[in-house]
Amino acid sequence: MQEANSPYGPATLEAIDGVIHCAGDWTVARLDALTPRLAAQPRPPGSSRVDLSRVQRMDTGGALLLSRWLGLGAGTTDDTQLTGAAPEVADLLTLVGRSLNKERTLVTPTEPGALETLGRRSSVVAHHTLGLLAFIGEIGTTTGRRLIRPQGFRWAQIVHELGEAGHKALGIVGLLTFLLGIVITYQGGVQLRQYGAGVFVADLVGLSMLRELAPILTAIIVAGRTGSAYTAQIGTMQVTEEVDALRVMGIQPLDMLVIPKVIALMIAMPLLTVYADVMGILGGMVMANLQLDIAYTTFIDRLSDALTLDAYLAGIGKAPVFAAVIATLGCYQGFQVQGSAESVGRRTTVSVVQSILAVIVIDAGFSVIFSALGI
Amino acid sequence: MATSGDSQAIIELRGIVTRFGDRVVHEGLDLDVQPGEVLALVGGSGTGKSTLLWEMTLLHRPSAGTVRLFGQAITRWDDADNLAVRRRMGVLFQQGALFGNLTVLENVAVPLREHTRLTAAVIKDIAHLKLDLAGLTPQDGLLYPSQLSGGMRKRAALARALALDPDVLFLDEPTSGLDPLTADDFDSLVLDLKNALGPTVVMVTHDMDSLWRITDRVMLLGNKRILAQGAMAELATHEDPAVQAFFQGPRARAAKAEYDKERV
Repeated sequence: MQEANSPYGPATLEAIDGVIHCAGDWTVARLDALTPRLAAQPRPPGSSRVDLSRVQRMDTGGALLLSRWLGLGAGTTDDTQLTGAAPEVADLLTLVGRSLNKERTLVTPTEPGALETLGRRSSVVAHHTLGLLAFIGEIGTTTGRRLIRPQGFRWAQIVHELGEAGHKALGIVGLLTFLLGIVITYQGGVQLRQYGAGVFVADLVGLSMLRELAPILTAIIVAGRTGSAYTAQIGTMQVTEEVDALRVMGIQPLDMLVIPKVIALMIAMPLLTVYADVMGILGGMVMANLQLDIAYTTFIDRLSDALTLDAYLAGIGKAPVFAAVIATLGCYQGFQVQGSAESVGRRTTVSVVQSILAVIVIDAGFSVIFSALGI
Repeated sequence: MATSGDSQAIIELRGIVTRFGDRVVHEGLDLDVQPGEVLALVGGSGTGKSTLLWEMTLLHRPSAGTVRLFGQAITRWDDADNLAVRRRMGVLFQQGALFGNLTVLENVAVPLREHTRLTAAVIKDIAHLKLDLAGLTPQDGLLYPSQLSGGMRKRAALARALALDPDVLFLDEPTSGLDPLTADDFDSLVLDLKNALGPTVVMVTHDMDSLWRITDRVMLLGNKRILAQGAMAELATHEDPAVQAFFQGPRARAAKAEYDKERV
C-alpha cells in the first residue's frame, strides 16, 4: 500500500540486554507487521530503558501502540526511561500518555433480550399504525373542509401533479401493458388453439386486462414511480427544514404538499388505467393477428361480445382506491424522514414496498367482494 | 519530501484560473502554503475561497494553472489518481459530512480500515485516541451523527480528518454555525492539535476571532485574485481601502479588541 511512498524501513522493536530498541517508521501504514509480534511478546521484566534514537518517524498510532506495549499511562507508576527520542516523538508520546491516563469508562448498552426486542418492535409497529391512521384522518378532515369551500383547493398545484403523475407516466404504462397483452395472447393462444378455440383469446385478453391486469399493473408502476417520488420529495424537504418553514409561514404542509398529490393521483390513476386497458388489448390484438392469424375485425367483434360494462367498471373502480393508498403511504413515509439523507432512502424503499403490498392485498379484497356480489 | 527543485512549499498553486460558465472566479492566482503554518483564506461571498480549497484538496479541477502538492505536480484529477497524496491530507467539511449510517467511532475508523492493515482492535484503540484528542468521550463514540449537537459534530469530523495523522489539514468554515463559546473551544482545540500533531492547516473562515487567535497568515481574496496577505496585525493596518473595508468593520474591530485584551 504505502510502502512505495515511505522512505523509511518498517517499524521494529527488539529487546537486547534489558534495553528496548525501537527503529524505523512507526506510522499506521508500517505497523501491521509489528502489531501481531508485540501482542505475542510481552515486555520483558526489568527492561526499563527504551531507546528511541533510531525511530525515523512516528504518528499517534505508533505512539499508542508503543505506549500500550510498554504499559505507559495505564495508571502504573514505573521507571521507564525513554531515551534518544526526537522532540516531536517525545511530544507525541507525552500527548498519547496523557490521553491514556484519563479514565476511559465505557458503558456499552446491553443487548436486549428476545422479549424486550419483541416489545420494542411491537411498540414501533403500533406507533406507526397509529401515526398512519392519524395521518389519514387529517387528510380526510382537511379535504372535507376544502370540499365545503372548493375555492381553497390549490388547483395549479393539482394540475402540476396531474402532469407529473399522469401525463409523464403514459410512456411506461403504455409500453408495459402493451407487452403484457402480447405475452398473455401468446401464452393463452397456444393453449386455446389446441382446442380449436383460438378466437377466444380475445375474451381472455379483454377480460383479464380490464378486470385485473391493467389496474394492478398501473398501480404497481405508479407506486414505484410516483409514490417513491412523493416520499423522496417530502423527505428531502423534511431534512432541509423546508417543511418546518411552511409551518412557520402558517401554511399547512398537508394542504400544500399532500392534498394536491392525493387528489391528482386519484384523477390520474383511473385515466391511466383506461389507457392501460386500451394498450393491453391492442398488444393482444397485434399478437393474435401475427401468431394466430385472427383478423383485427374478428378480434374486435369477439371483444364486443365478451366484454361487459361490469368488467370495465370493476377495473376502473379500483384505480382511485389504489391511488389514494399509494399517495397516502408515499406522503406519510416522507414525513417520517428524520435527520439524514440516508433516512430518505430508507423511507422511500419502505413506501414502495408497503404500497405494492397494500395494492395487492386490497385487490384480493376486491375479488372477494365482487364474487360475493356476483359481479 | 520536496522533489521539485528549490521549492519548499507544501502546496503550490500557479496561475490558477477558475471559470463557471462565463463567470470567472480566479484569474491567474498564485498561492504557496509553507509547511507548518496556519493559513486562512478570507473574502466576501463568491470570491472563490471554498473553490480554492476544493482545488487544493483535488475535488475541483481549475480551468487552467498548475497545482503541486508535497512537491508533486498534479496532472490527473480522477478519483483513482493521487491516492497517496490524498492520504496525506485531512478535510473537515462545513457540515461535518459524517457518514450517517456509521457511529462516530466507526466514522473515525473508516480511513484506518481502508488504508492500513492493522487489526480491528488496534484500529478501534487508535480511533478512541483520536476521539479523546478531539475532546469526545468513548461514550460519544457510540452515537450516530444525527444524535450529535453542532459542536460535537465538528469535533467528530475533526477526529475523522485526523485519523491518518495528515500532513495538511483543510478546514472549511470550522466555526460556522457554532455559538461563540463552542466556537472558542473549537479554536483552542484546533490550536492544541496543531501544536501537538504539527500538521499544516489551511482554513476558510469568516470568524474574525478565529483569524486573530489561530492564524499565522491570512489571505484576502477579491477581484479574482489575492488582494492582500500577511499576519492579521499587518492586514488590520493595511492601506488599501478594499482591505480596510474587510478588516476594519465593527465586527473585525471588536475581535481585535478582544485579542489585544487577551494578550495584555
